[in-house]
This record gives sequence, structure tokens and C-alpha cells, in this order.
Amino acid sequence: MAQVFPFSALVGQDDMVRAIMMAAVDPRIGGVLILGDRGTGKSTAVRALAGLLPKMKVIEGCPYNCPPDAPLGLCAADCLGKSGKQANGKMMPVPVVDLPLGVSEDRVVGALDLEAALTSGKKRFEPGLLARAHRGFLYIDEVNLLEDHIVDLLLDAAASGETIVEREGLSVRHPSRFVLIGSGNPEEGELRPQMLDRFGLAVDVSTPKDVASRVEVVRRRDAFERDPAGFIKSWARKDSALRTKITKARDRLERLEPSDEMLGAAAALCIELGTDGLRGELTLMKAARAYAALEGADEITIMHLKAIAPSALGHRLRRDPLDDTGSGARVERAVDKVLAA
Amino acid sequence: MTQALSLGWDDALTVAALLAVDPSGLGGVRLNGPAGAERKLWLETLERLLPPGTPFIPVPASIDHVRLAGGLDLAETLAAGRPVMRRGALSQAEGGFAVIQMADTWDEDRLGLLGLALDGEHEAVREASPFALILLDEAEPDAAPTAPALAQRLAFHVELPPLRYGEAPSIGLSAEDIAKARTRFFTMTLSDEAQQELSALALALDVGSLRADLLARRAAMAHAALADREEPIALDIALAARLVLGPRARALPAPPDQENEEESEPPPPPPQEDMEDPPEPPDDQSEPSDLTPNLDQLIDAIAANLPPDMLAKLEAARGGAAAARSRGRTKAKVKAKQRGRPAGVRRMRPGDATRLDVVETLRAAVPFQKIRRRQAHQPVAVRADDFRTRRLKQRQSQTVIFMVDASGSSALNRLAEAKGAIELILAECYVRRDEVALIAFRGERAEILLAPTRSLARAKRALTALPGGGGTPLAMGLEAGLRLALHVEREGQGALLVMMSDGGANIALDGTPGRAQAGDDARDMARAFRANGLAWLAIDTSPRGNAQMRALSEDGGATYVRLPAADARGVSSAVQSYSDAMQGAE
Repeated sequence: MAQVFPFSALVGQDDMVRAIMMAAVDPRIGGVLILGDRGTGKSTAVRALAGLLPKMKVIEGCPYNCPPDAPLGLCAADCLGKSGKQANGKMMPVPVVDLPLGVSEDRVVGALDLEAALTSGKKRFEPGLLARAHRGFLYIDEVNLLEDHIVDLLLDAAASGETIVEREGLSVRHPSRFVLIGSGNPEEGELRPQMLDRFGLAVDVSTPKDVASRVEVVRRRDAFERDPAGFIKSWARKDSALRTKITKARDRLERLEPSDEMLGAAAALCIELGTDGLRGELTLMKAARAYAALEGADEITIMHLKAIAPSALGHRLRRDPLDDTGSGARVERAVDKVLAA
Repeated sequence: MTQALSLGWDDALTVAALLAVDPSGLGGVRLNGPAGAERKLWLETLERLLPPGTPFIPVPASIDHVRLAGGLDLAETLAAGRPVMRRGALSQAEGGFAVIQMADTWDEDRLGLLGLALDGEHEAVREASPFALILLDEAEPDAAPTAPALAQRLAFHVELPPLRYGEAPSIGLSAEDIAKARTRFFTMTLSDEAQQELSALALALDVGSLRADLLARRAAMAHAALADREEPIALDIALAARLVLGPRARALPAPPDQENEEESEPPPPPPQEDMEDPPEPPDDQSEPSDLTPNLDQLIDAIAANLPPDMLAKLEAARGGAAAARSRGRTKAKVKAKQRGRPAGVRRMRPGDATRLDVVETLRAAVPFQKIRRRQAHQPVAVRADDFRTRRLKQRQSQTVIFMVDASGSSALNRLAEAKGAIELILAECYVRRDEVALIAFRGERAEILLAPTRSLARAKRALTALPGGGGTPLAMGLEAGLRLALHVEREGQGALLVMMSDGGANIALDGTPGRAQAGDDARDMARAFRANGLAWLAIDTSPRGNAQMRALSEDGGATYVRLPAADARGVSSAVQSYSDAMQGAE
């Protein structure tokens, strides 16, 4: 396995780093969309995540990364966990699966295992990327250029938390709950609204405009490429501190309940902005909670809500072709208006 | 997006030497230009510089997925009765180079795979050491750039200079020199001041990607290693800036007080002259080892290497021309057979990008099992002629091309409505994934105001200022539309043209005024539409209908619509219903 750049060694890009960490704390926030130019460290950040997160326990040999204590996998026919005797787990890193642009449907949902079919005549399912990403992250670079029919598959899986394969004489059903992380440059094409809505958080990234941070980025990257092992080691302590922060935040998450006041504020904000549906409010609340947990706070406050509102709501605003105001500015205006009072 | 540098042979061969020192760190090079003696010389030079045994794998455009990335070899597997795995070309290239032939014809799938592999993120190469790419790009100069996302990862983008008869440039370095430089490179560092210089320059040139800074850093270090220096000096940094940042420049800052400078002193000699035969240490050591080269000098040096019309192109890129690349992806000249929704099976050997449909193949083999089992002892006897592959139907995306008459009095109105219609179509076409382009014709020319794009943001920006007035070069407008449509179709998409005019052509194809010639030319152009089988819609915006427009649409096989008060909504819905009718007819 290729060695990954340490997450703690990322320079700047605070919004993106925060959003990714929030999604790691609470996968239910529902994915992160990162918008910006090429070469701003989007891919690096997402891939670094794999090295950062605490390892997870899976049933040995389970192609779907099921945890040993899972109540019987959905893949009932060949679930390794159901007999009970196989339930000894092993630890594996949280998967961060790349979904390349030109990917075929077979690769995404899985297909008949050609090798088994041809050599032994056995009908066996070869799990696809959606299976591999279960309990982890699915990363799509240039998500705005993804083929429509692949987008359909992803939306389907993301909505139901499972993948149903009915093709090539196979009938397989397996869990696939993953956090979708997409990146892209809006200049190169728009994202379908259904897809946009599916992302909990959306953040903008841009190339650093000061020489000092560019130099720092390049210096670290170069050090990493020349001696990956040494570089990873020198950042291990900071990475481990971040890991602890995430683990602690996950524990804290359950104890943080939004007060009625917060719920009211979130609702007022969404009404002011005219976002469609309840998803906006739910995401806003979950994101505020994850952020409060990361900050080690004892309760969710207006400050938390304010901090994450632009990334939780900015991409949900109904677009007005005749209004050029950036959505970030609109959210901030609404935040000032509603939450200041 | 990068811009090919036209370099002299010294520089071009220096690029080869730098790549030989640090292949995977520099990522590789995109070489523009046709196959020929120049390219051969360059490739041979590079290959000769590499340590013996370094992979230098040519990858033809026709390579199939299995050969590229490795995997199960179907035919072999069947013959042997056990799985036969093949190693792909990319993993064979480990530590060396994969030479991508005719990169401009590669489809997106495989280019994406190359990108992942270059990042070490593809399973085919995950176990292998990193490699570098040489993209041989034979695209026409004004075609959409080849694989922009991939090119971003490669340090260099070079157009080789023509080789004159009898000319035999050489680098004066041997494989041993490179081996020595590699050892030197291994311990090389770049001071923070020098890196600051590079990064400041990157910012000044509006180079977006941070990867550029890193690639420039490595190029500077590799160059210093070639000259057997402890650490890069000004010369190395200048060279790296010129060769790596130059092609990525999106702006050229004007040197301050240019006039004064020209008066007071002769312009500084372009650094590349200082750098002839850079690898020769004695010359270099006489250079002042000033660590921070003058920023303005660097910018001048970069400007000297860029194509002369680059500034104009940069301006255009800000507006429309870059939209031709708007999708940031490459053409699908090779029809992707692996995507789309299933649409039946056909009897065919699985090849590039088609997948064997196992169930159907087995079904085809079933009737013969009894006979075949007498001959072979396999659980299932499948033969090559049983192979069935899946047919997939891919929805073709469509580009709507507007050709709008921007002449005369009603021009402004018409353009504004066309603009409105474009924005409406874009806003409504998320699901359809259509693209839109706009050509305006007036006076003596037709110009592409908006190259095909799907981005509403880009369209709005490009369409803010629309010129109007002048004569009516109808034929020119049609010609521009025809060209664009054929280009779009070559890339595997459908084109739908919409012409908005009130007729009255009075400028001929050669730019001379005159109604008769202009009318004839327009008719000829319209016939060319029919000859090319293009679908088009002629919207007549004249108050009472125009005979010429009607005749044109008859000659050209267009659908004629009269919309005297053409408003954005009317135009948009006329286009939509026409497009639906076309799709239905297919």
C-alpha cells in the first residue's frame, strides 16, 4: 500500500480540514463537497484521512468490511458473521476508496467474478467499489464530470445504505454505508442538484495567495516524497493527537443534545434562506454538533452554528440565474440577520 | 491548462536530462507535435541517458484495458483452464517511463487510469515503484488540449524545434553522468529563499496549482545535480522557472518601468543564452552564485519562450476560448463501450473496453457441452466463438450551437434574447447534460463568443458584453457554425444548430459587400449543412417573415420557425421541443 501524507502536515485550508474532520466524527452529516482549482491539496487531504482515522474492526475475510458484532449482514447468503464461529475480527484501516471518472458500472456495484466463472463454472460475486467503501469514505475527484448513470448508482446507495445487485444472473444485496467526498471545479461543469443536495457540507478551497504558505506546502511535500517513512514518523505525534481528538469527539457526540433554542435558530436560518426540504436543518444541526464535539464543548452554542452555517447551507440555496451574489455571502447575511437578534 | 513551450534544442535536451535524473518526481513531459525525426531524436536521447535496464515502455493508443492495467487474460485463461494473469504496461514501466502514443486520441477512461496510476493510487501499480509519463500529443494546435488534468501532473510541456537537414543536436552527457547526478540529487536540498523565489514567481504568473511549485523545485534541484553542484543556484532556479512555471503561466505581469529600462540599459540577455550547455560544470561555476535571481528577469525569460500569441490567447481564455476546455476532459473519439445502460448482447470477442457477458457466453456454450466434453476435460468447455459481449447504450450528450445575427438594428435585441435563451437552456439542462455555444456574426466576421460549455457561471461571464451592428455576413455565420458542429461531432457528441436572423445577407464569404454573392454563399453553406446531415433550426426574426430565410432552410434541410418577437423563453422552448423531436426520431 502506498504511504499517505500525514493529515496533520497539511498547510492551511482550514475550512476543508474542518469539514473533513467533522465528517469523520459524524458520518451521518452526509459527505463533503470540496470545490476549487486543481492542485489545491484536495486529493492529498482526502487520502491523508485514511492514515488518520482509528482502525476499525472487521470480520476476517468479509468483503463488505462488516464489524464482527453486526447483526447478521445483509448479504445473508454468504455472510461470514452469521455462523458465529467466524466472528473473530481483525483491525483494518478505514477504507478511503477512489472512484475514478471513467469507471464502469461493473466496477462500482460489482460483477460476476469472471475468473471463477470461467475456470470452475462457479457463479460468484466480485464486490465492487461500493462494497469496499462500506464504513469508510468514497472519494470522487471531479465529481461534477461524473457520468449520469454512475451518479444514479451512488445516489441510490447513499440513500439506502445498501447496494442491490441484479445483473448477470446474480442477485446480491450488501450493506454499503459510506461518506461521500467529492471534489471538483464548478467552472468545468455544474453538479446535478440531486447530487449537490446529497452532500452534507460544501467548502471552497483556493490556492494560497501568499508565498510563505506555498513554500511551506512545497517543502513538506518534497520532504514527504523523498523520505515518506521518515516524514510520516516525524508527524506521527501530531497525527496521533488529531486521532485522539476525533475519537474523543465521537464519544462526546452522543452527549451533545441541541437545545430548543438551537433548534429554533437553525429553523429560522433555513426559513430565512428558503432552503428546500428538511435536509438543510438536519445537516445544520448535525454539523453544529460535530463541530461542538470537536471543539470539546459541553453544549452546542450559537457560535458553533454560525461557524458551520455557510458550509452546511451554502450549496442548498435555490439558484437564481439572475442573481450573481455568491451563496456564501447570502448565508452570512442571513446568519447576521437571524442569529444576531 | 498548460501552454507548450517552443524551445531550442539545448533546452529540449536539457528537459530530457532532467527527466532522466528524477523521472517520477517530475512526472514526465507532454511533447507536442507530429511523429518525426525531432521526436525520435528526443526520445532516443532520453533513453540513452537512462541507466541500462530502465523500462521505456511504448504504449500504443489501441492498447486494451488488460494490457494497460493488467488483469485476467481471457483467451489464455480459457486455453489453459486456469486463471492466467497478465502484468499491465503501467506496472512494467515502474521506475522508468511509459510513452503514451497519440495521447490526444485516448479516451477519458484510460486517461483517468493513467492519472490514478501516476499518483500511485491505482491497484495496478500500487505495489510497483513510481514511473513517469511521456505524452505524445499530436493534436492540432487549436483543438481542445489533451488530458489537462493529467498534464497538470507532468513538469514539462514542450514543442520540439524543427530539425534542419544535417543538424544533429546532442546533449554531451552520458548515462554515467546521469547516474552521478542521481546520487547527487539524492542529498540535494533547496534553500527556503530559493523556494520563496519560485513560489513568488508562481503567484506572479498566476499559476494556480501548488503542484507547479513542487515540480519547479525538483527541476531546479535536478539541474543543479546535473552540474554537480551542492545546491541550486540562480541559474538552476531560472531554468526551472522557465521550463516548469512558464507553460503554466496564466498572466504575465508587466515589468515595472519598462520604458525607462529600455532607455537606460540594453535589455538583459535572455537567460537561456547563459545556459547553453548547462550541464557542463566549468561554464556554470563561473556564474555568480547569487541565490535570488531578479524576478523581472525571470519573467522576461519566461515570456521569451512562450508562443507570441499567448497573451491574446490568455485574454480569450479568460472569456470564452477556455470554455472549449470547459469540461476539463478529453474527447471520446474512441467510443466508450464500457459505459451506459445495458442494451442486449452481441456475438463478439471481448476486446478494448467491452466486457464479456459471462451468462450469455455460457448459455451459448451449453448446447455443445456433451460433444465438447468428449474432447476436453474441463468442467465447462467454452470456446472463443461462444463469446458474447454486452452492448451498452450511452446517451449522447448534445451541444446546442447558436448562430446569431448581430448585424443591424435589431441586433442588440436578438443577442440579448439569445443570451437569455442560453441561460435558460443551461439552467434547465442539468438532467440532460447539454452544452451550449454561441456564435455571433456581423460586419465582416463571425466569432465564437461562447465556446461549448455546460457552466452557467462561465456563460454569464462570457455573455456580459455583446457587440452589435454592421453588415450581415450570413454565410460566415453559417460557416463558423458548420465548423464548430463538425468539431463537436468528431468528439462523439451530437450537435444541434440554431440560427437566429432576419435574413438579408449582404456580406459574402470573402468579406466583400454585395447582396447577390452573399445570398449565393449563404445558400451554398446551407447546402453544406444538409450534405453533412446536420440538424438545424432556423429562427426567422423578421417582422413579416423573410423569403431568404425560408429558402435557406429549405436548401439546408432546416426546420423553419418564425418568431418575430423572439424572446428568451420562446427561443428556449422552440429549441427544446425541436431537440425533443430530434431525439425521438433517432
